[in-house]
Parts: sequence; C-alpha cells; structure tokens
Amino acid sequence: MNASENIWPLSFLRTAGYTLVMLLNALGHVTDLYKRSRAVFTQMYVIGVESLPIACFFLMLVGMVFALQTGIELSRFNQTSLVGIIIAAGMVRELGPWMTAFVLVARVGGSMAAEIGTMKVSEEIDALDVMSINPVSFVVMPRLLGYAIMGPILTVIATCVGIAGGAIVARVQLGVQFSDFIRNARNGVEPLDIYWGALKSLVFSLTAATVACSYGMRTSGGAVGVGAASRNTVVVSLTLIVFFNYLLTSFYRIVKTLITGA
Amino acid sequence: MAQTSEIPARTKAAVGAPVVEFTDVHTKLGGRQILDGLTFDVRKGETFVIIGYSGTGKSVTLRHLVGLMQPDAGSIRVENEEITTMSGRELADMRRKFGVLFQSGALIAWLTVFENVELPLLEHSRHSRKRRAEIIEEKLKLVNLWPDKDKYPAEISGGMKKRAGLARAIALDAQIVLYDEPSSGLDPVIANEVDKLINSLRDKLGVTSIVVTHDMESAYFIADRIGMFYKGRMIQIGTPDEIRNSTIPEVRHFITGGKEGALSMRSHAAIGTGRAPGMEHPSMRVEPPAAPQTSSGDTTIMQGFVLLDEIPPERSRAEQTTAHGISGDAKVRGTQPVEDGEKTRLGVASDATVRGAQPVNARDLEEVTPNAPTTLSGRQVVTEEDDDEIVDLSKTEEDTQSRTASGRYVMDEEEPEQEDSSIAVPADKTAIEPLALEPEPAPKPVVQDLSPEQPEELK
Ligand SMILES: Nc1ncnc2c1ncn2[C@@H]1O[C@H](COP(=O)(O)OP(=O)(O)O)[C@@H](O)[C@H]1O
Ligand SMILES: [Mg+2]
Repeated sequence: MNASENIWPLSFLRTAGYTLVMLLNALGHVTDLYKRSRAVFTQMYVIGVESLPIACFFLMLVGMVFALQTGIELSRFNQTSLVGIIIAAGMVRELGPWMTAFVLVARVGGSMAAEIGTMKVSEEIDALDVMSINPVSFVVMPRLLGYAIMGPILTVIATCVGIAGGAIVARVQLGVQFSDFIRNARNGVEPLDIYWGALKSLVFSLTAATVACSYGMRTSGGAVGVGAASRNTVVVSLTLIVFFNYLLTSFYRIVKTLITGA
Repeated sequence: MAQTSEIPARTKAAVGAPVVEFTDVHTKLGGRQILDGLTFDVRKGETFVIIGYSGTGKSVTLRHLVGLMQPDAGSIRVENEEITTMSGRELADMRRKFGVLFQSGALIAWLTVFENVELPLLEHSRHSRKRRAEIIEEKLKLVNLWPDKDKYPAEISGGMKKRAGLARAIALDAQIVLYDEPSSGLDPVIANEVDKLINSLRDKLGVTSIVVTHDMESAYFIADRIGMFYKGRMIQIGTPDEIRNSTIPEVRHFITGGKEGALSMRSHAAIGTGRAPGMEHPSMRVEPPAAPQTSSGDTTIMQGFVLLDEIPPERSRAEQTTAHGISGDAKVRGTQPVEDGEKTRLGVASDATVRGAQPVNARDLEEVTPNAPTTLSGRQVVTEEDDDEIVDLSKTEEDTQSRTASGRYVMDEEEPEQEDSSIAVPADKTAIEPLALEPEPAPKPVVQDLSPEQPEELK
C-alpha cells in the first residue's frame, strides 16, 4: 500500500528474505513427517505419478529431435554412429533435468501456488494459525518434500525415455544399430554425469516448490491475487531454473577437470 | 454517551474477571485508521456481542485478538497476558485457549467435514481414534451435519461450511470462542440453533464467547453485553436492554435497520477518511454540497448514485427508499445490489434526502459512466442518457450475480412514490423486521437444552 512497497529492490529483498526463511522453516518441519506422511504421499502422487505420462512424452520427443539434429551434423563427417554419445550425455547432463523441471513447473508449480493462494485468501491459512497448526508444517513441508522426492525420480525415468526416443530415431531415420547406440551411450555417460543430473533435478525441484509455496503463502487480494501468484510462480521458477542450471553446469566443469586432472 | 459495563443479573454468578481486554488499540490498514482507540473488555463466562456496519473493522478486531494482526499502538490482554509482544511459540500456546469460527468457515479444502473437525483433535489431543470419532460425532450432530460428514467443503453450502467450522471451533472445548457472523448465510431455524448452542456453551460450560453479528434479534438473545463498534471504537457498551433503548443516533440507526436515528451521509462516509470520497465524481452531484439540511444535522441533499447500507437487496424499492428516509418527491430511478449483497446501489435522479446513505466508493464509481447532470432549474429531466447509465450500471460484471437474483427496479416518472405494505417480503427477512418497529420485541423462548448429553461429553 505505502510507497516503500513499490520500490523494487526493497520488495525483492523482502520476497527473497521471506522465501528463504520459509524454506528453512519448512526443512525444519520435516521432523513432523510422522503426522504428515499422508499429505506427503498425496503430494508425491500428484506431483510424480500424475506427471509421469506428460513428462515422458515431452522428453521422448526432445530426445527424438535432438537425435535428428545431431544426426544431420554428424553425417557431414560420416560419424553418425556417434549419435549415442551426444544424446546420452546431453540428455543426462542438460536436457533431462531441466526439460523435466519445465514440465513440472507448468503442470504443478502454478497450480500449487494457486491452491495455497486460495487457502490464504479464504482464511484457511489463518484458521490453521489460530488452531496452532503451523501452516508451513501443514501446507508447505509436504509439498516441498513431495516435489523434492519426485522431481529427481521423474527426471531419471523421463531421461531414460528421452534417450530411448533418440535411439529409435537413430535406428529408424539415421540407420544406427541399437547395439552401436547403446555402446556409445555408455561411453558418453559417467557416474558423475548421473549424480550431477540428479543434483540439478533436486535443486530445480526445490526451487520450483519453494517459489510456488512462497507466492502462494503471500497471496492477497482475492481471485486476482491467486492468478498473480500462479503467474509469478511460473515466471520466477523458470527464470531461476535456467539461471541455476548455468551455475550448476559451470560447477560441473570445474569438478570434472579436478577429477580428470588429478 | 451512556457507557456502562455493568453485568446483567442473570449471569452475574458466572461472570468473573476480564479474560479479554482491549485498551486504546490503534491500527491503520491500507491507509485507513480501522481501529482508533478501541477499548473494551470481556469477562469470564459472558457472551459479548459486537455489532456494527460491515467493512468497519469487526473482523479485524477478532484477528487482533488471536494475534493474526498486530496493533500499531495499544494493549491487548488475554487472561492478563499481553499478547501484542508475544513470540511465535507463546502465541501458539495462547491460541489454544481460543476456538474461532471464521466468517467463511475456512474449512481445509482437501479434507472432508469429518476430517476438518478431527484436525484440531489430531494435532492437540492424545485421544484414541475411537474417542476422536465419538467427539466428532457429538459435535457434528450438535450442528446438524452428521449426515454430511464425508462430504468435501466444495460439495456443501455456505451455511453448512459455517456449521462445520463451528463444530471444528468447539472440538477442543476451548474456553473462549470467537464467532464471526455465525448466523449470516444460515436459514432462521439453523441460525436459531446456533444461537442456542452459544447460550448452552455459556450456561453449561462457562465458555466465554465473543460474537460479531448483524442480526439484532440474535444479538439480544445471546448477549450479556453488546458493544456497538463505530469508527474504530466502541461507541456504546451495554446490556441488550440498554442498547435497545439507546439514545445515541448511530446506535439507533443501526439497531433499527436505518429507520431511526438518522446517520448523516457525511458522518457515515467519514469512517476512516473523514470526508466523503465520492463527492467529487461527476456522476454524483451534491446540491448544496453535503451540507446538513436539518437542525439535527443528519440529512443530506444529494443526487447521483449512492450505496445504501444494510438493506437486503431482495427487498422492494419502496422499502429501500422509505427505510432510508428518502423524501417522497425524490425520483428513484433504480436500485441495484452491489456484489457483496450487503449494500444496494441506488440511483437518485433528482435531489433527494437520503438517510443512511454511503457515497459510492472509488472502485464502484469506476464502473459508473459519468454523465452530465440533467437538472434544469431544480426540476429533473429524464434523458435517454440517464436510462443508459442505469442500464450500463446493471451490466457491470461484478453485479451480475446478485442482480439476476433480485431484479432491478426502475420507476416511471409518473408513478407516484408509495409505500406498498403488500409487497412480499421473503419469509426469512420478516423475522428480523419486527425488532426495528417495536421497542419491546417479544422475548425469545427460554434457552432450550440443545443436547442433553452435552455436559459429560464436552467435559
Ligand atoms: N489485511 C488488510 N489490509 C488492508 N486492509 C484491510 C485488511 N484487512 C481488512 N482491511 C480493511 O479493513 C476494513 C475492515 O474490515 P473487516 O474487519 O473485515 O470489516 P467487518 O467489520 O465487516 O468485519 C475493510 O475496509 C477492509 O478492507
Ligand atoms: Mg467481517
């Protein structure tokens, strides 16, 4: 309402501060798991199981297109059989984690913010407060945990499907035998790549869930406010995800040179 | 100002020390002074009813009491402990003393009615599953919701949500129960049951209740003391009889539903702002400008659109206008409910004496197409534009729901203004009506025992 709220550095700091405190608060409330297990399982189902088909479909097509494009370039050097290396490495390190994260933000992030925002504007969050039930424990923690568990699992599955999509395209359209593809794919991926992909996915999942809960919990102003919370969640999550992805890839490079150089 | 805080005889034995004390509480919200020197106390075992116009800060008062909002200044004490300086953990402990019924019920959307009532028991009691089920069954039967226990909040009506919220509020046998408009949205029979429930909680268990309500009949029935909230403070606190016989114009205006104790438009509009914000708008002409026209200083000549407060939109136009003392020669062009159903937008085509009117606020005015005033030497000329404007008004999106429910009344120039006593009033509205007309309404029946098994079960 007052002028200071409209100065963006201040409102940015306030938002970031609230979000960080909420995240730490939620992590502290993981100890309430024994009485929130049902809610966590519900969230795992909604976030993970229900998103599985669309995530797999997306990643499969991504793998297929990726294989086609690399195939076009590799054929210029008569190296089409190497397509497996590039597909596997690219999918595991990059496209798998963040394409899955994008699918999840679109399918889950916005609606999570809207759901919490609706609870906020319809006094449900207040009701929890006056019943001395911590809303962060009751609402935020199960969502955060469900997202953080299912995001990486979904990423692993969808990435495998994506690589399989690439293999099919390689076989059908590029004429690369499955055995060649798989052998090359194995060469392309080290254990570190898999850990790093999972780490990325965990960071993206926590980011998206935290942003969604933060915007949801700070919703005000009725239906319009709920819409804004949902929209801001999608925009901010995606921006943070590509940003964190760049940071994590940079780290990956440093770690990799340390390991191979040592 | 007849300020009194004497405890009525019938509950003297049950009433003890103050459990809730507001002292000179000030709070500004969105640039408006919502609480402005609010001072009152609630004694142990009494039912304290807060009445007042909607949107003035009654819910805000309750939110302060449970620490959901912090005052800018002043002291709020609950059982002699200052709550405004409490930490999160202290607040959480303090809140366990309270059961709160929110205005909308505030049920958790993904839990059934049963699970909602179970929630506080799961969190804060060590009862076995079987014992919990017994308590829930008892509370849900108390509010007539047992058959609907497995429904989700989205599947039940607003009144049912409120009753479920009530069952949840009393699930843990709180010592202090706050009710935010418990009977609005309920049919008269259920509303009466809720009133009886409030009384039986007090009489059998010594529960202290704070009730916000618009329903004066209910207020007289349940209250030990009533406080009239106005402009951020209590302008009168007294027993139901003292309020009924109040001489304070604002109180009379409220308790008679606008028939008596005229409230000047200026004073009404002054809530929070100190001036009438809609006055400058071209579609609302004030001639002469908002000056008090009578010796009592409580009427205003104005033209344009006004919002009438507290008159259910489904009442007829004649009732709308007479209730607000609009003089007979005023030409009422149309009335329209505003979206929250608590106010009615009324088009006044010529200068009219409007009592208890509220200038349209800025947001409502945005929906009004400004048009040139059409007054020629004091006489109203009805132009096409006038009609268009009213039609435009009726098309504003926000109004659609309530408007279609109640229709719109447009009166022809020739048709004489008349009060038609034969106009059908919905049955549930007549229940409230007699109070406004009779100084001494018939007392309600003696408190009925709502649930014979209650004392043992609740203990
Ligand atoms: N969190 C808030 N921020 C800004 N204004 C608020 C807030 N809560 C309530 N208000 C304003 O305070 C006024 C009183 O609201 P409320 O207490 O809900 O009225 P009522 O007396 O009908 O219960 C309203 O004008 C409302 O817009
Ligand atoms: Mg209210």
